[in-house]
Amino acid sequence: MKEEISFTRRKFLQLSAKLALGLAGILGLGGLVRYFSHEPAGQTPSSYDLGLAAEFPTNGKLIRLDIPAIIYKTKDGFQAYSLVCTHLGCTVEEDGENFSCPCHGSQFNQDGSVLKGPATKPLSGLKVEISEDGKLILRNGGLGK
Amino acid sequence: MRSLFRTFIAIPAVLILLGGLFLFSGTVSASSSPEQNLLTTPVTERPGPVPTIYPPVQADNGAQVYWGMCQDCHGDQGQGLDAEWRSTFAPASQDCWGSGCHGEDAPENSFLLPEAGAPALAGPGALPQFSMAFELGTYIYESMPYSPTGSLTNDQAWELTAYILHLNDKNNPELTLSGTNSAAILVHQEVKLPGSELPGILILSLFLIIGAVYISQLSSQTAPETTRGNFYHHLHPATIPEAQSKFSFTLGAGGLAIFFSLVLLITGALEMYYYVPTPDGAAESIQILTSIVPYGNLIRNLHYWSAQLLVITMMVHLVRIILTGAYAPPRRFNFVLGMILLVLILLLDFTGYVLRWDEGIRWALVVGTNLLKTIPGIGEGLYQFVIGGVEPGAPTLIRFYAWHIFGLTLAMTGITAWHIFRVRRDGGISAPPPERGEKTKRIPRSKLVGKEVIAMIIAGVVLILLSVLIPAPIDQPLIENGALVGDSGAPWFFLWIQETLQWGDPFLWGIALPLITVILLGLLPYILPNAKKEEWGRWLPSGNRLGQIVGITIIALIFMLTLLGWLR
Repeated sequence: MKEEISFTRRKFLQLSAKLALGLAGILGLGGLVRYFSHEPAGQTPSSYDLGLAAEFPTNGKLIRLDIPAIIYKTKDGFQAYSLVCTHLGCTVEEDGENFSCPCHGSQFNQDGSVLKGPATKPLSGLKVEISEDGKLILRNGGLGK
Repeated sequence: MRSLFRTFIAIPAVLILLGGLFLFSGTVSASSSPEQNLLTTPVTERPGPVPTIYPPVQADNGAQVYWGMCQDCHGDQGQGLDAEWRSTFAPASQDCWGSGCHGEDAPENSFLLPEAGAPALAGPGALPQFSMAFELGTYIYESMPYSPTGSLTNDQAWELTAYILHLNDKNNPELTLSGTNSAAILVHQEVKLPGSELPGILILSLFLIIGAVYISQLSSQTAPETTRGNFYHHLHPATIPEAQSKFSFTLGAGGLAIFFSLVLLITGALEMYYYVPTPDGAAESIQILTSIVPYGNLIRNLHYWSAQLLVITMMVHLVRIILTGAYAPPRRFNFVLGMILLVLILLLDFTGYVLRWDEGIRWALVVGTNLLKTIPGIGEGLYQFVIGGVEPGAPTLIRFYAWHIFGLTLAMTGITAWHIFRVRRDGGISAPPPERGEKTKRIPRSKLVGKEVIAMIIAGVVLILLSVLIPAPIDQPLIENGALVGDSGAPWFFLWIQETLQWGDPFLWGIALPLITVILLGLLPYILPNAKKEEWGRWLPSGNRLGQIVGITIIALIFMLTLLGWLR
């Protein structure tokens, strides 16, 4: 009889200890998840000065690898595309009239549309503005955007 | 049964203690009421800054300073000196660049206004050159008002920074900007502050305590040994002599040192995920960890306080070993290992301190490394090896980082393991030899674990309380030609050397003396008589009296010098 009582008490203690430690562990894990949940500051959108808009030749183009972007001037105005491949982010290279990606061979048309996979999305267009003092300003959301 | 009863008393007691703390911390923020401040905003023709709410937040104070010093040029909305703002001026002063105004022939005590006027401080495209609030605040302090430059106090500069963030809808009124958190705050993006860490701390400590108490209760039950031996069993022999586990003899210091070391390893590993070891990023990343990352402040404080408590515990341990003559052979080699650990821990503390890379460490780093140069012969080479160049810079930071998280930590882990291994190898903690014809009283493993758990709970609660109540020191990021100079003192564990340095030759007093001191302490069991075997396990044995006198004199001198430096 006595044996049985001490066995029950032992079982109870064992169970409570495991429960308390388990709960502490889950809470600790929750804390750890919160600790790692900090979101680093987003990249501030950057703008690039491309020089005077009036000096840009009609039907001309400008490749800026620091952005990286290509800027065209057509009769309809300015157009700019990001040169970041929409597949996995390498910088695409000029390949005749088109662009091809050196990493996995995606190819894009001059207007950014996909010619050949594995990329599925077209090159993203970028915003070009002309400032008050006539300068051409390109705005970029940051790497890969 | 009695001890179980005690446990049930202890749990509510700890709960009440921690709960009280929680309530206390909540009272400060709850007291704001929409009462008007007595300092009413001065009346202008145009709408002035928003009326100050009582109690004013930092940005409200900034609005007052702005109204007094900045508004004339930067506009009442932070729009800058544009035509619209100038149209509100008296007709005679609308041309700010005109002769006799702020142009040529500016009156005495006036100044020349730059061609560009005063830039806008709010609105799209404003403040493009600043990304962190720290840069903005430092710029304001150093370069504003335009004339006379440098007339702002440090506090006013931060109040203005908060107000400018407010004008841009980026200010968080719950935050008080300062040099120690503004590197984590962005100018162009509102930063989300983490919620309170207290609920997490409370719940976690509560469950840990309950779990630990249950385990210690559980271990006092005798259980059949069914499991195979493991590492845990290696550290805890099936039975040990009762005399070796008495707190009144061991003070629990060695065990606690291991506990603090483990906390340091865990919190240090977590800190590594956020720390950026570059001169520009280090202080900023610590501010982000401290001010923004959830539980980041807690983890940093735990790391800091375990490091401080480890130094203290280690000294208590050393005093205990000397005053009980426990370093007598066969334990004298382990005493030397202990002295090596002491040096390693001080070096770890120093390298960790330098990793803050903020104004608080500037002079300690300069003095500490220049001290190496004074060593005859090898000094210059050692200096360059330590700082990785001819003057402190990025390579210095990365070397201190490598030593702190790798080199010194590896050495300390290895020697700690050796130290613990030698304790058992040398026959356990020094204890009285068995009396002739009497059996030594022994306690089972479970009882030893129970004692360890109690010591760990007490140390853990102290650690958490210190971490919650007293934050680890932090200062503003290191800036060139520091305008706001930080602490010029050594870290507290080197204050004694700072004192001896004032006595003369830096090599003699700053390097040779501390080195000789440590070596002398380490050699105590080799050069002075030791406690006799029948005196073991007792305080103040007569056998090593001389060793006790020499050792305690040295430690007391170090203690007094530290106190002297601290009071200075």
